[in-house]
Amino acid sequence: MRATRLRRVGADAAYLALGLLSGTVAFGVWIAGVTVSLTLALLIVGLPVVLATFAVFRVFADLERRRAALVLGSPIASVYRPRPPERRLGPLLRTALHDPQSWKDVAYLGLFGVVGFTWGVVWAVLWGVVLGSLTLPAWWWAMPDDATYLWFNLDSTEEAVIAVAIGLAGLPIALLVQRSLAVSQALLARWLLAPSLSARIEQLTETRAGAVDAAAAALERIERDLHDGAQARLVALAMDLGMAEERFDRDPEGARELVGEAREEARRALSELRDLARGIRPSLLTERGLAAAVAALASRSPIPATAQVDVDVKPAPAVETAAWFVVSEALANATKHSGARQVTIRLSRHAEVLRVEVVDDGRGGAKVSGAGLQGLAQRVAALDGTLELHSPGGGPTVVRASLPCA
Amino acid sequence: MRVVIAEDLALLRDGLERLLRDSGIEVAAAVSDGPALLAAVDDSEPDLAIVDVRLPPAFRDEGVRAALELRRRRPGFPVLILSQYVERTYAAELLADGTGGVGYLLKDRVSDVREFVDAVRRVAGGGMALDPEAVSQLVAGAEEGPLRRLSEREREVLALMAEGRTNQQIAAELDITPSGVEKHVASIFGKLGLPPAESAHRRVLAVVAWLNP
Repeated sequence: MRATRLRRVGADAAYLALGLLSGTVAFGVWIAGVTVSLTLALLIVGLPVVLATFAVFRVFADLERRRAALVLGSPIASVYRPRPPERRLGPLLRTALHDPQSWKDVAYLGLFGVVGFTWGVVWAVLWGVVLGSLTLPAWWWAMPDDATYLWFNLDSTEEAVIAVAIGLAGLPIALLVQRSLAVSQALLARWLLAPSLSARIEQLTETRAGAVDAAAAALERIERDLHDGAQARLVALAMDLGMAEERFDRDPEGARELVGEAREEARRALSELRDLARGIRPSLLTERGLAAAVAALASRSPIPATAQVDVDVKPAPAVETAAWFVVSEALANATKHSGARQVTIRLSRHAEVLRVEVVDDGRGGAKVSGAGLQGLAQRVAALDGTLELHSPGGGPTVVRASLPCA
Repeated sequence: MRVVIAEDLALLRDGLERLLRDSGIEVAAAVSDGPALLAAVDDSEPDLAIVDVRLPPAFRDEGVRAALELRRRRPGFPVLILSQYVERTYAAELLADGTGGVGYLLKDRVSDVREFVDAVRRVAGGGMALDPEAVSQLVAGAEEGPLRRLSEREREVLALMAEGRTNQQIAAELDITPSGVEKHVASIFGKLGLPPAESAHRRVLAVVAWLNP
């Protein structure tokens, strides 16, 4: 009980001390960001500055979400509209401007610039007085003769002892005030930085609709492939066998030919079914898991590719499949368009997120307009993940997917 | 010749059994999982095991693992893997010990009974039978490693060697003389730095070099 209370006091103190520091920085950043953005937003050249301001505020807000864990027990969740896969100014700025959370970040940092600083100063003065009083007997002699302590002139040990009494009386008050300061500051953070339920619902609705569309489109494609491919071939095969049966007695040679054709149809049907099944989930992924399947992709790549897979816990099958398709599609694109000489594939797990990164040293300039990358973005969004493409002219090209796997 | 079959789908297991019996090959046992395969080989001492990749309990790569275990216990024991897919990874693992007696074919290949039975006999005799599909996967990624040094023609010859063809068959396929094939084969061995040794063995090593760029 005592230990937890002591830890509570320490955490509150750390929270307010850090708040004093980050509040001061926030104040400067907010003033600079808002004034520069407002001034430059009138000019087209100012738009990147506006975007950069939102980005800096977001980083700051994320730090604040983490700091809040000292008081709230866990960090505040960070939910923003998903970034468009395309790293271009227009789409990025539009997303930022339409996201209510960006504006709440602006409001929070503005308020926090004042609150974090003020609360921090009150906290520091309070503890200065209390701790100073408690330790006064040890150092009062070092003060100049005319120095006053609170309301009396301090020049004897007895008076120093009175100061200790005052310090002792002030201690519970200081603890109470510290708690109130910490809690009120954390509640401010939670009020403006926590995702509103409606924002989360909106995001989930959007990605779910995308997932349903993608699944429906995939099923339709499979149905069509089966109908025009394997099913038709099996019909032809059955016909060939039926005719061969008819002919067996009167024309054995013709029957033999028909049986041969039937076998050829069976072989083609098998090969089409195999391609179809492979498009749903690659066999090595099922049989050996993600690391082996990605290593096989790398070894089969016409551009030399190295794969580093650092995933100790097996992710869910849907996550594995999405990760595999990200690597496969990115490799295929690099082969077709980039002119790269080397591709690096990295898979790593950070806390509850599987990160997939494919980097090539090609000429860059890749766009998300292709059906492949768009389908991929949908597949990733359906799992509540994000897909990013960085591909400046001149390269390098980075395809990065972050897939939650809690 | 006597074989053991490990295949979990009864339809395919029975079909395979009938096909082999029709071709004069005795099926000593037909089982449906890895441990049963190891036991059946110990019991009936067959000349070859025909194994499906996906077997119970998890239907992942149990068949390949059982085959590798079998060859660990009995070095060089002939194994023919049958699968709906071919993966270069498995071919490399099976051939890694360099002793041959390895086949890896798509299940489709059983439809050509004569070629399939040929492959079965070849593998049982210590030879190789890699599926043309596996071979074409290899050709796609051959720009790296020791294979860079091979000429176009030498790669074609190596691909046919991987399928398990003899020099005469390769000569017929590529429409060149048997002595021409021999020259290419010797050149492949030289470029891959293989020691002068027993020839079937070296053919396996050449393919292993290919599978592990």
